[in-house]
Amino acid sequence: MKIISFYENQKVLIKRAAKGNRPAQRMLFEKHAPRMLSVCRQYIKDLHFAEDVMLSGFVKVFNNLHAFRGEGSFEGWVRRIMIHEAISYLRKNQFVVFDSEVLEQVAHTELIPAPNLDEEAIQSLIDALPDGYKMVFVLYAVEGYKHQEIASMLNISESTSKSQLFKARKHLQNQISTLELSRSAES
Amino acid sequence: METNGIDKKFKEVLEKRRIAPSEGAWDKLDDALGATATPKRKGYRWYGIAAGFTGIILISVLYFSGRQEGLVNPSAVVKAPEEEKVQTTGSEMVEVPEEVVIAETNEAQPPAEEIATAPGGISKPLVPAQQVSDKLAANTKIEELPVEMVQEESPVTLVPAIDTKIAEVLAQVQAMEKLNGGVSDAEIDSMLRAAQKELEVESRIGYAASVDALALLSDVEDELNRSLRDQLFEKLKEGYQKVRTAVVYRND
Repeated sequence: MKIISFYENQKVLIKRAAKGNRPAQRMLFEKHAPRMLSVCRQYIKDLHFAEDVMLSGFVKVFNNLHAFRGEGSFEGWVRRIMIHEAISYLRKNQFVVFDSEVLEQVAHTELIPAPNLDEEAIQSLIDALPDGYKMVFVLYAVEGYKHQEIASMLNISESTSKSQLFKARKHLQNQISTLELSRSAES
Repeated sequence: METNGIDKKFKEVLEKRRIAPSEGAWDKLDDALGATATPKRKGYRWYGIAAGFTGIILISVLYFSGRQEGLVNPSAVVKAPEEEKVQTTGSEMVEVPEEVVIAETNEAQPPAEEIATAPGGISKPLVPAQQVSDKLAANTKIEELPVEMVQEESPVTLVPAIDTKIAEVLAQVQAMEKLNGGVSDAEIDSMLRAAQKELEVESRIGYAASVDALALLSDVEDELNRSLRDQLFEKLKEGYQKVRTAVVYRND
């Protein structure tokens, strides 16, 4: 029991994992893997592919663990690695197209009321988005990146990022309204 | 940043979501980590083995070369001519005063009692104390080898000296017999003792040419006293008997 409590200290775990201690690495993996698989699943439709991406991301995490200085949160550091790994996966294996139509003036987003949706419904709505829309929407809405950061990450212009977000929201809004209409018709 | 209702709802739901990985996920990761980690370890291991071999080779080369140098240096000192030793710089200052002492003893030829005490007393002031301590190791090697050299050379150098001394004594005996008509045993004995002392002095000077006399005198003197004295006495007695019979025959 003392060993378990000792290992629960994340700093100690990280130090040991950085030295290649496999039990420590496993404990870190088991602690963060469910959250990171959820992150990868936001970008990748297939759960098995998402898991493969997550595993390759953890390989990078453990191989570069000595570079983690402990200044920010460990989870945030791992999460950024997972996001980059997912984006690079989509770029390699799927032909990501960003809509070339850039809206000159993106209208201010309407304050749409929060829909009553569960996890599966939300994930299915995200999966239905084109990959270009999806990446920008998730990075902006869920991960909290700014358009400038998204533009540099996806190697697109900032205006393209904004228009992709606008179109993604519109697409989601239409899908949600369709979904609510079908639900009301069923009830 | 404006918060849209859709964005807020999606963020809340997705932040709370956890998806458990499959059962074999860790095994896959373990294999992937092993595949990436093992080549590095093997590389380091081979580097370590190579470094170990290189170190062993270097140490052995240094060790054996050091031994060869240690063997070569004393022989070079032994073979070096005396003039070069005198002209050498401060690094061989310890040898130079010995040469000076030898030159002085050769010129003056003091009695045996003085020579026995002189090298220790004279050589110390000539050699600076710091240089003696610095060259202590070199001196020990230099001082050890001439012992062998002297031991090898001593029979060669002493035998002619004894012969010449015998010839001198015989000539003196013959001269005294001619003048006085006879020589007493006491006179012959005193002449022999004087000849023996002279031989001892000469032999000590010979040793001092390359060896610290104090270190060697104690070792050699006993042997010298035993072997040389007996040999000298025997030869002198034989010579004296021959001379005596020859004188008797001539008188008859």
